[in-house]
Amino acid sequence: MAAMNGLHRTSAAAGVLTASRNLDDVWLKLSEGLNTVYNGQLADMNKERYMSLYTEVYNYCACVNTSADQHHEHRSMQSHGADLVGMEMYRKLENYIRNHVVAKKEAMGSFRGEELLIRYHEEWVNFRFSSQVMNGIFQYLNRHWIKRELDEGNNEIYVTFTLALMVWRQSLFMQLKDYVTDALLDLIQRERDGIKISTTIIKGVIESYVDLGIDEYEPSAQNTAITGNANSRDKLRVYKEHFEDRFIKKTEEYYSAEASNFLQNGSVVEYMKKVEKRLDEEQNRCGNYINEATQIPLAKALEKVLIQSRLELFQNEFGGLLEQHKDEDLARMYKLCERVDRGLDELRIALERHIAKEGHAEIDKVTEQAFNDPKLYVSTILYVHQRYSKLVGEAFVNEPGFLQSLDKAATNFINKNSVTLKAEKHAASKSSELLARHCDGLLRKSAKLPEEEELEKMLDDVMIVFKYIEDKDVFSKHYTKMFSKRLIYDQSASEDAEVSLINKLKQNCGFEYTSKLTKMITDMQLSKDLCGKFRSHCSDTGKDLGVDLNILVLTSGTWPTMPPLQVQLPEKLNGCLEEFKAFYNQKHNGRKLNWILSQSRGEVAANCFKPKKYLFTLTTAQIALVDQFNRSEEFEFSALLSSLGMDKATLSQVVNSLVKGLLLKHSTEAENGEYANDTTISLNKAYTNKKVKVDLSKMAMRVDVSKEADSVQKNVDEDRKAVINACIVRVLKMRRRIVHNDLIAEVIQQLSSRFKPKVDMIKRCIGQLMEKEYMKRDANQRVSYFVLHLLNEQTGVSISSYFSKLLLLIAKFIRFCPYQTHFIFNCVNLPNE
Amino acid sequence: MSREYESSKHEDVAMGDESTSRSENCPQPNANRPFTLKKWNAAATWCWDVDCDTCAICRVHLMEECLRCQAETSSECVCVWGECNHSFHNCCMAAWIKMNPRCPLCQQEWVVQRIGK
Ligand SMILES: [Zn+2]
Ligand SMILES: [Zn+2]
Ligand SMILES: [Zn+2]
Repeated sequence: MAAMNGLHRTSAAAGVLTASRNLDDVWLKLSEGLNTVYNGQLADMNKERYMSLYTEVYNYCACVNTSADQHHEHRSMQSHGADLVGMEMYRKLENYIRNHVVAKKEAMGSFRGEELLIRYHEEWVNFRFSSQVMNGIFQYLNRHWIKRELDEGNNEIYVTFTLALMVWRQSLFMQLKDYVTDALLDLIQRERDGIKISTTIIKGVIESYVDLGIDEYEPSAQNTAITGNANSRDKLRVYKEHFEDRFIKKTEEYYSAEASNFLQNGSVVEYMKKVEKRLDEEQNRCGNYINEATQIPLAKALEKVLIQSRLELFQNEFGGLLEQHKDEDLARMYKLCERVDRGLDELRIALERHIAKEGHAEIDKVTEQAFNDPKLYVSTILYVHQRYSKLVGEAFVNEPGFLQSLDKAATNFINKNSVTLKAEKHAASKSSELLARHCDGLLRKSAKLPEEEELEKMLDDVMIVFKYIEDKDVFSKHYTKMFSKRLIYDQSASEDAEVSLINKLKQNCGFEYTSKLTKMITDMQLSKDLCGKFRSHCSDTGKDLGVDLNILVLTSGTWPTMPPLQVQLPEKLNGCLEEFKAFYNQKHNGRKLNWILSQSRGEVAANCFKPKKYLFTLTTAQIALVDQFNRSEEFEFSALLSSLGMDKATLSQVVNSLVKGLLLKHSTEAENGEYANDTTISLNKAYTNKKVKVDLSKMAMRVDVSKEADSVQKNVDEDRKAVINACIVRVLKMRRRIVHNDLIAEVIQQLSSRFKPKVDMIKRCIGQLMEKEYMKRDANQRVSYFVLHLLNEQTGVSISSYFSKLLLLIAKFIRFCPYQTHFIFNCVNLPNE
Repeated sequence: MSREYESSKHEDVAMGDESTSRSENCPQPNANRPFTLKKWNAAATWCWDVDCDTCAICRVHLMEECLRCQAETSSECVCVWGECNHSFHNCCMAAWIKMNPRCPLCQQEWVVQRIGK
């Protein structure tokens, strides 16, 4: 092509004959210079010689330009003239280089393997350097004639250095490339086999592949070999095509075979170590003497043959490693499988299955004891959880998918296991109950109180289990019940610890979840203040109650419901209550006090059991009973019944508790929990105990755990309805109109931190709220609801029911022209201030 | 919770040795009365003294805060009684009478009888 072009222009070149004739002389000198440059005699190329060669090119090109100017006024002629002489010099140069390169090719063409590489490398390094010198000599041609050709869009002309590379590529590289690449790959394989090789040659040869990535068709790429700022994809074209593709293919073959061989005898664990080592080696190899751009495809190829195609093998081994607690190997497996697409999926599933299995197995071991030992139950759960949260943290770097596996498995074995199943109808709340009882154990006064820090750690552990409890409202019920007992019976070990746990619950489930617990603490403080004031009131007014009186005033609705107790109090106690009531009504307005005698206790001194004096802690019913014995030493049961005003069953229970406590004697046993009317109850004057302070109140208050669970369960559904109602109203208040299914979804979402509301129950609640006129099906959009009754944002005040009935009438009337409904409702929802 | 569990200090100590100031105020047992109450921890609940325990305006239990107070977690939400003996949250009623000076339940003119405290 280029030659044709040259011929084409000869006819227009009459005026440059002189210059042309000059060229032969000039070229004689230049080719001598090029001989020096290309034939390894650069030592002879001193500065003067170099400058004189440069000047030859300069003079020739510049002179042509000048003579063209003198003889031809026409601009196009001038440029044609210059075209011609430039072209001729360019062609001569190209010819020279080609001859040189072809000779080199002939010289090394018969060699193969490492010998070929050594020669290719040496020649390439020399050629490249020589061509840079050559490029300097022809700089004037580069800057003028070639530049103009390039500017004019001639894409068959190159800067002289690029020209040299191009010729090398065409006349040498393309002929020998397959042999050179073969030799490269052989050498690399030898290194993989563990034989030491010289990497400088490989590195140099591979660099030549990159340098040859000049693009002959893109003008912008023509200077790249010199300036090096072309985009790297073009630049790596030759490298990728003639080396990388084959290299990757060869790598896959090599490692695929290696893996198969290894796995015939080697264990999976050994295999993983091997893979780890190989991945490292290859990464270094690539960094050391192969182009960095190959890192990614190389890693992909290795992952494909070493990991992806062996995934099943890993998955089969995973369970065994879990069983054997091989955390290091598990970490290794994680790191390998993490590298490939979907490599972790099966492992996550297997981990979840394994943790759940382990959880159940550990709990199965202790089912019988743990059923009534909250501490054992919780510590068993924590043992499993800690084991696997450590594993997930250390071996699986807390990867979210593995964390999720842990969470799912923990939720599974914590909420439903052999212990909960043993609770039969209370299965769903058994875990909540045991966890709450465990908290009670931690927070209750006891002989060996843990240190503050230790306790804090234990409370954090509680929260770990709590997080997985599905019915958190049930936990709250059990917890509140026990908390209230701790408060009322003054059995809480530390207020700080109580508050700390409440705060943790609040952080987990929000303010509403713990608001009652907080209010209970407030009630305790207010009561304490009030008692102080009452005492000083008594001493100020000179009243002696004759007893050390402490009264708790609890806000009803905030505390769990407590059983009532009907009993005729001793005179003195009645007096105390009346006195306090009068005082309380002075302080407050519009309040009604209800005594909960079942929750009241006292201390009674006894001097009838010689020789010691005892101090008994008794329930109020027990106090009322022993007070009777201040009048006489024995009674018929019927007499006690009438003077205490209690029902037979309750009194029988109270009497029995003191008989068991050895304070009283009965003439006959109670039958079916009740005494016969003529049973004689008498004081046991022979009572003796090595302790002087005896607590008999617990005998009367022995709690039936399963009865307790019954009462909790009964209230759960009622309370859930209330919570769902409140939630529906809250959603409606915010959204005004909402499609039925969206409303249900929103409610489930909002309540999910506390329990999983059943869709049926939500639907029923919606129905009830509609009956109560809180909301209504919209007249326009049949599936949406409308807050009819409720609030307006400014005042927070509702439209009262009579008003809403009026609205309903309007709405019914308006059904004939439904598009007006919205308007009216909007008006109604904005009562004027 | 912060009440002292006073007598726990006297474990295994003979009664005669007891010498806290408070128990001195209490009458000592004598031969005629073998049992003497020294200390009583009683519990009571309080609620508003109302006929109907739900606020007809916001339809929340009067012992709980009205809806607005629940939303704002504000301080005190007390009960108010009218001369007609109907009762509501005081906050609810305060907002109500701005638009209607009558009791929402019986339509009598609203006159405050007392405010809870
Ligand atoms: Zn209200
Ligand atoms: Zn309020
Ligand atoms: Zn009224």
